[in-house]
Amino acid sequence: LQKPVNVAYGVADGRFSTTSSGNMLMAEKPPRTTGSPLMAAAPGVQGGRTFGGRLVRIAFWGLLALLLATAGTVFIASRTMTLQWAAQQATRFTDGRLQIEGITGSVLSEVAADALRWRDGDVAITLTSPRLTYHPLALLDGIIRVERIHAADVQVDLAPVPPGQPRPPFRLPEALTAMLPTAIERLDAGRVVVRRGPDELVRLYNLEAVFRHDGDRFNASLLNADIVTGESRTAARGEVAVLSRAPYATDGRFALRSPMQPEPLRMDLRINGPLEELSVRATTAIAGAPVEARTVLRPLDSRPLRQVRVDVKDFDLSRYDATLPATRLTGSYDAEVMPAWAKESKPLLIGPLSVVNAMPVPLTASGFR
Amino acid sequence: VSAAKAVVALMGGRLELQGLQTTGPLGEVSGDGWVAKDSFRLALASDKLLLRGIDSTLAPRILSARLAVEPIVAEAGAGPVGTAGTTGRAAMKVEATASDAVVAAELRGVLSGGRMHIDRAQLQSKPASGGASAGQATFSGTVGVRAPWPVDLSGEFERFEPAQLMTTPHALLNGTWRLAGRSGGADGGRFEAAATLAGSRLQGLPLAGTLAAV
Repeated sequence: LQKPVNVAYGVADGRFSTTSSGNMLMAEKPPRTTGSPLMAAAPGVQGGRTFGGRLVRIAFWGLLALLLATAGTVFIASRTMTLQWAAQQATRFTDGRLQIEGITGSVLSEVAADALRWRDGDVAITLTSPRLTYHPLALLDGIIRVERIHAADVQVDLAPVPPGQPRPPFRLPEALTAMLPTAIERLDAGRVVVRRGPDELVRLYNLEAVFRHDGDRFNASLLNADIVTGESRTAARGEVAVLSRAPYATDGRFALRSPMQPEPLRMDLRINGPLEELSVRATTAIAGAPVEARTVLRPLDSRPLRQVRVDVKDFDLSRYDATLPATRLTGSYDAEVMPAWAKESKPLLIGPLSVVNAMPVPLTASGFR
Repeated sequence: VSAAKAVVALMGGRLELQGLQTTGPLGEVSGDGWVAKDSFRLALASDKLLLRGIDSTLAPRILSARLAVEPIVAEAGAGPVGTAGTTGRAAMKVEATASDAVVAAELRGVLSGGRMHIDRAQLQSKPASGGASAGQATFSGTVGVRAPWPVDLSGEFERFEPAQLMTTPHALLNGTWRLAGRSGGADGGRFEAAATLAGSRLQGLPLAGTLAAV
């Protein structure tokens, strides 16, 4: 370029027109050749000027259209009205099963709502004050990256099972794979309550988790959850990985901690096997004595637990409670869980218990204090 | 207990023991029962209860014994009587019997507030030297069922031979006695005992008077 190029663009009679002045490769006066290899192609420049000019114009208009389209998309996507429209469409698309109230924010960064409800068959889930923060530009890297999913309160209502009727079995599909790898960097909820009919099954507080899906497997890390069942409160943390295809091989480890007396109870939980039939092994120590519980968990079955075996070794009652006699108990409890044969007054657990004491002494010599 | 077997069921908020069988220094004991949050029931029986399984200083007797502990129900269907003391548990009725060819013991009481209130306990024994009239010891009071194991008992002897139950010198006791204190605690326990005897004998020698000890 030897001089500035001035280009003017206009629209007249519905057609675009351009005028230009200055000096460039396709300027009116081609630069004098000096014998350079580039300039040696000068005889072809006349034809190339036409082709090059078209190419530049096409590229320019294409780029401009792309920029306008992007700007328009960004403008539309950043409007709350767009979200409200999308929420209405989602409700219509799901035949009313999904309801979103008071949605605000932007599709491009953060979406918040007053409440979100999902009702499908026997399950109803209500999220109070949900908030979703994510990075749409991560889609360019081929990943769905969510910075945070938060809800102040989550309520899961399961339909009550009529007495005497087993729950219908639930079957997983052959594969559960998202279109893109997904990363949820933080999933948290202040409170989660799961109810079946009027009965509260479990209540979680301060749930915090991380979730990843790389196409082949789901990985979830539970950073914290305070599980409340009845009057007991247990803090849980751990991680689990599940393959995304049947039989959904699962491997997980959790650490549970319960503020029991006289000392906190810490339990390590190991879960592995296909998702439909998980082997569960829980180990702990009560008053210094090792206790191990084993069971098979069928989470999709109408009877998730059928059998539990608990083994204890060298248990000293006086270490558990100083007023009790000194013992060295070794025993096992092999219990059936909610046996199908029981018609009425169905026991939660029933089975044989056998205990051997390696330190039998007369009652008054057993260390009453 | 050396070994125990039972069918254990967790049902309706209570833990049930069915077909309990134990062996050990106490002998062979069988029974059943249940434990709930504020109440329990226990029924134990033994045809071979070894007295020395309770304490090694007791006589080597093999007794047939029954023990029943059950909640006191105020009215039919009204549930257990209200809680008493600090345990939060309902009051329990306790009945125990034990006997062999020579001795027979019976106890009735109420368990509440961590203590057993013994209305009346009676121990009868045939005289070791023969004779028609049986000796007898009766007592009442309270016994703690948890640390520091407090005791406050008083009773009477009438031609009672303690050697029938304990490894003690032969004696024949008539009189009254009282025992108060605790067998546990930081200082290892403390008792105050008093006895007033008349017309009694120890190793064949006459024994009478008042004894007090701490």
